[in-house]
Amino acid sequence: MNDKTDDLIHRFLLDEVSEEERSQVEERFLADNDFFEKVLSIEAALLDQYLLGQLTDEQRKRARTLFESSPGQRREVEFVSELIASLRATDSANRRTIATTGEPESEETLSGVHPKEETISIDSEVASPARAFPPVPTGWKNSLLPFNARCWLVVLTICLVMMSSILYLYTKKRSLEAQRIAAEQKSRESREKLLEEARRKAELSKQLESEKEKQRRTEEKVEEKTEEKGELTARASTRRPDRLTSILLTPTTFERGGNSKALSLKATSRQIQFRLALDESQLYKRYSLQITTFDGRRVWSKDAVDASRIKKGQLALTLSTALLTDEDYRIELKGLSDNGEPVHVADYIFKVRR
Amino acid sequence: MESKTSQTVFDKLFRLLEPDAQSIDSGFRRCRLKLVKFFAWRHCEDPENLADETIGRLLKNVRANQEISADNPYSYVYAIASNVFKEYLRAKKKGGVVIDIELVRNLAGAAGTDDECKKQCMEQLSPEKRELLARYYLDDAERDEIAQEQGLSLNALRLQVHRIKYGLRHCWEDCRKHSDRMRN
Repeated sequence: MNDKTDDLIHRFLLDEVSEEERSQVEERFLADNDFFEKVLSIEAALLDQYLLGQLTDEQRKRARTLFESSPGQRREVEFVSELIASLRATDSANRRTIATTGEPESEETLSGVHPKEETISIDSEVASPARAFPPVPTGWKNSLLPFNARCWLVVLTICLVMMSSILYLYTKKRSLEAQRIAAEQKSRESREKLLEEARRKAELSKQLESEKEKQRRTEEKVEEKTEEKGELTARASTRRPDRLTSILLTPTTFERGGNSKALSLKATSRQIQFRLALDESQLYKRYSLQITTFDGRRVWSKDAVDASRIKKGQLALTLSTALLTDEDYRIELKGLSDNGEPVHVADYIFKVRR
Repeated sequence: MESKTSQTVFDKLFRLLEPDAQSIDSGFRRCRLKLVKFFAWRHCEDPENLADETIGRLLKNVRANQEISADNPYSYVYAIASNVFKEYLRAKKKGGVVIDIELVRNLAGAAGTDDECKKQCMEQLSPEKRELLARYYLDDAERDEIAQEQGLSLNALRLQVHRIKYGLRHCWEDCRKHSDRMRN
C-alpha cells in the first residue's frame, strides 16, 4: 500500500497522473499533514535524484519543469546543490588530510627500512602513544632482536620531526586563517562605508527629485490658474459685445459746406461707452456733459465730471442704448473754469439707426 | 472594533484548518505552505502570490459569514484555490501574468559570507546528522544500508534527511539575513 502511495506521489510530482488522481492527491495533502510531509520528502528525494543525475531523460525533463517553474522552486534547487557541493568539499578536504599524513615513501627511504616490511602512519585524528611506534610484523621478530639502537633513535627522531612539522603547518594555517578573516573584516567595513555613501547619495537624489516634482506641480498649478484667469477674462470679454460697445468719438468741427463726420451704432448693444477724445493741452479740473438731439431735446447730462476720469486723453461715459432712438445726437463737452463758468470744449456728433 | 473582529475570524479559521498547530501563526504558516506547494506543483510562476490571493478570498468569504464544514474544512480551501488557478491560466493566456524576478546578491563579499554561514550552520549540526547527510549524498549506493543501520525504512530515512535539510536551510537563511543586515 505504501509503495502504491509513493508511486502515486512520484507520478503526481512528475505530472504523470490523470486529473482525477491529481485532485485526489491535492485534496489529501491539503487535509492530511502526514501525507503532506510524505509528499514533501518524496519531492526532496526527487530533487536529489535530479541533481545527482539519477533520472531517465523523460523524468529529468519533467523534473526540470517542476523545479524551474518558480523562484521558490529554483531556490530549493540552489540550496541542495550548495549543500552537496559543501559536503563534497568537506569530504575531499578530509580525504586529502588523510592522504597527506598516510604517504610513507620519503620517510621510509631515510630510515633505510624496506617499504614492504614496515609501515609508518601518523593519524591526526588519533593521538595514542602506542601508535607512535611502528607495528612490527611477528615473523620478523627474531631478526630484529640484534637491531641497532641508533636506528631506533633515528626513526624516533624522524617521527618527532614529522609531528612538529605537522604542528607547525597547523599553526601556520590558523594564523593565515586569522589573517584572511581580518582582511575580510576590513573589506567588509569598506564595503559597508561604500554602501552607506551610496545610500546617502540615493536619498539625496530622491529628495532632489521630490523637490523638482514639487516645483513642477507648482508651476503646473500656476499655469492652470493663469489659464483659468485667461478663460474667465475671455468669457468676460466675449460677453461685452452683447452689452457694451465702446466707441471713440473725436470732436466734430463745423465747416461751411463741409461734411459732418457721423458714426453708425448697432442697435443690438445694450450699453454703449463713448470715449471722447480731448485736447490734452487744454485741460480743466472739471467738466460737464450733455447729450441732446438735433431738435434740442435733452437726452442725458452730467455735471462736475472730475478731470481724473480722463485717461490717455479720453473721457469715457457709459450709457444704456435704450436712451437712444433713431435720431441724430450731439454730445457737448464743457469745461468748468476756476470761477465756475462753463467753457465750451468740443462737440461730438453721432447718429442712431435702429 | 473592526480589527478585533477580523483577528477573531483569522484565529478561528486557522484553528479550524490546522487544529494540531502549536499556535495560530504556525497554523497559518502551514496552511500557506500547503497552498504555495499546491500552486508550485501545478507549475505556476508565482505560487506565493496565488497562495496569498487564495487566503485573502477565504478570509473575505468567512467574514461574510460563509460556513465552512468542520469535518473537512480544506475542501472549501481547495475549491477557492482551484478557482484562483483557473483565473491564473486565463490571465496567462491573455499574457497578463506578472512574473516575479528574484534579485541576485552580487556583492563581492557575498560568496565569502555564504561560505561562513554554511560552515557555521554545518558545525551546529550534531556529528551524527552531519555524517548522515554526507553519507546520504556522497555515497548513494549505501542509502539502503544507511536506512538499515538506522533501523528505518528508506522513506523514513528520506524524511529524516529532509528534516535535517529544512533546519539547515533556515539556519543558512537566518545567517545570511544577519550578515546582510551587518553589511548594510
